[in-house]
Amino acid sequence: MAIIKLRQPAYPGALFGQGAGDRGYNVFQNEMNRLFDRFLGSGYDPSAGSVFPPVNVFEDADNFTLTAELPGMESSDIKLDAEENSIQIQGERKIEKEGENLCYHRKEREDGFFSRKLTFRDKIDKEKIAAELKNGVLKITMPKAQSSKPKKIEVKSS
Amino acid sequence: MDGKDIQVQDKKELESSGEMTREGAFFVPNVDIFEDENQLVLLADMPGVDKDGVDIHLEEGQLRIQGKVSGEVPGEYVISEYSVGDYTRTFTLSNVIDQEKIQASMKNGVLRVVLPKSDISKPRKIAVKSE
Repeated sequence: MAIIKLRQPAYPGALFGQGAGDRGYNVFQNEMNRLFDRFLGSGYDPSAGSVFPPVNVFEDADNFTLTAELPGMESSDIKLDAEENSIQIQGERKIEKEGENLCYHRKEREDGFFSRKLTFRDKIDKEKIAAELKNGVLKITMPKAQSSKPKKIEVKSS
Repeated sequence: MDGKDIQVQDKKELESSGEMTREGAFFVPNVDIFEDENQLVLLADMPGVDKDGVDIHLEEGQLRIQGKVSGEVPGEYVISEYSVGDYTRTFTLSNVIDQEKIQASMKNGVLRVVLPKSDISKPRKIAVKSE
């Protein structure tokens, strides 16, 4: 719950008119805007750059590993394409029709198409990419290309 | 492509009404619940949970489903767009359910629980199957 600090006016009427002019009202307006932002949050604006599916990407010395939650999908519903430094995940989640004359109490799961492309800073070895779908979680292991792995250079003393 | 695009839904974290005995975040899985004249069916999206991680508990008209996620990923986070955690959700059932005949199965991270209404009579055990 957001706590809004009340500004104490220096004298009665300082916030609205009486010497404060426009500034007094803008202070109030800004506080109201901030209140709404905090309540609604960024989670309520799907157009603000969030694409399905949300992914987590991990990195260790040799690989990038990507995970995405895709419950209810078979590997045949997912299409993966790889380039030198990017990967594209496309597919469709289908929800089976369960029957006729059903009474739904809740219907929260969504179906539909998705397509997402991710670009990486380092080049990946696209020949060696491995993908696994287990328990509704897609895991893509992308080995880094040899050229982008850090090389140790020996300093010889002469 | 024709047809609609799937939208991102934020993962709903549980604002707990009861205390959890385990540490960590708990999330509320999306469910579909429907019924016909013979049974109630619940489908819950719980990606990352295999059949051994499922716990179903029905007591005094309250059905609780819980899923424990498994699977470690090597390395450090580079991008983190979703949180990982166990799932839990509790429902109050108004129908009388034949508890002996509840069936559950887990497939591709989706839990299906079939709860027959109690006027049917065929005794069976609750078993969690994987398909």
